Amino acid sequence: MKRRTLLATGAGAAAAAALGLPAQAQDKLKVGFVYVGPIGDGGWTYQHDQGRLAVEAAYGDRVETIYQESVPEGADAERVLTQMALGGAGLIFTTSFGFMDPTINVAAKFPNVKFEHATGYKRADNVATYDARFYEGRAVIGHIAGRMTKTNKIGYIASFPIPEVIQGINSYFLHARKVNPAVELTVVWAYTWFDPAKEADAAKAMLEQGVDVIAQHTDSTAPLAEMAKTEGVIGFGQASDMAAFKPSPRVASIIDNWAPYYVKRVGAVLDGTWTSTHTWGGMPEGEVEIGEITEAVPEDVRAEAQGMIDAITAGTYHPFTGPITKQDGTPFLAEGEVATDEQLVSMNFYVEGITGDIPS
Amino acid sequence: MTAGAGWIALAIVVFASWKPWRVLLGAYLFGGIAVLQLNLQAAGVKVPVEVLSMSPYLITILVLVIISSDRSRAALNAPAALGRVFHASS
Repeated sequence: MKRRTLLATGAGAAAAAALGLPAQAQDKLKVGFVYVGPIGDGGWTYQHDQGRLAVEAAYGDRVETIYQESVPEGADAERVLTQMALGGAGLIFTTSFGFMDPTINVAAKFPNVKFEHATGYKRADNVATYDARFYEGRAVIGHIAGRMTKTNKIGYIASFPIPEVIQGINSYFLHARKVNPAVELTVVWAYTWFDPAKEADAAKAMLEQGVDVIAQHTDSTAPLAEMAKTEGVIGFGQASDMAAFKPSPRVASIIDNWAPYYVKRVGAVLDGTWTSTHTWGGMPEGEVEIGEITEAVPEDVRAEAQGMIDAITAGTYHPFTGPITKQDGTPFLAEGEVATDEQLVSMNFYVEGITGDIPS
Repeated sequence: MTAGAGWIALAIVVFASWKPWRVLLGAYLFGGIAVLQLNLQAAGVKVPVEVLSMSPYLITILVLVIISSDRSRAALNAPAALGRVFHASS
């Protein structure tokens, strides 16, 4: 393509977007996905891409999907989003917390393009948000951790100090403590979503401190690979099943299943019923699943975990049910009280029993 | 892409005074600090996580200041044409 042609095309697309005309023919919907890591992370981004493939399988010729991997959270994301919108995308999913402001900024310039931002809280007429109740899965693996640890030291590789991560830490610890009052939690902040070398180093540092059960809030399989080197240490698949590490160190996993949501939302755009909404699905909706609990876990613990999964799925148990006290000793939830979604999305404190401070 | 190690890589070159074997030494030093901060977190040391996380970068600045404080020595080791405008005629 000659440079002049390229410029003309770009200008045309920009003009079309500015005038609110669809940049592409009406018959085929172009759906864009913006990923924070590579699809090959085997975790978070891999699962979003499985959702993208489900959209293609569901609608075939009626949609075309495009994606961009390893997009940094910041100004670069705006560039990528703008390019996708100019390229004719009618619906764009941005799949990391740090894409929140870029999504809102670009969405304001393209009122006829629909955006969906994962795990954020800012919405607009053409920006919807969606999230999964990962803390439900954390409750189950926390229970397994509390029952399985021999050193009574469990660990958590944290990414960034945002409510979603803090919910996960608290839920994991609360359910470990419930079955094992002697359990202590070590948290290491990696300040990254995806950095296999650093994630593995964080796991190693905890192992050296005698931690023998590690959960992670980062996207790669590197911590499990590190755990596999030490006998008797267990961990959990994160975001994806990470089945390659079965039956141990990966004894269970939290699986994010985005496919039903993506298929539903693309369908809504196709039949013209899309509106800006907030969706926070969990186990009842099939958005959060627990992967196979392997035979490395004793049968009674497996049965207890399954019982908890069933109760959460049926809606009879909420992982944040009082009495729960904050780290500083002030009450959070009274006996039998259940946390509201507002309390969860603004969670910025550790529960009682966790040592250390949340970085600000 | 470089996971925050890009500037540290440049710093190591200066630290090593442009000598390849000393780069190895520098890589151990800076890599060690990156791992050390994770170990200190895991050990529950009473230092704010923010400070621990920035420690590799603070140490980088500190080391460069010390290295460059002796101007004549720093200049002695740097490539002679570094920072000079290149003219094919001269």
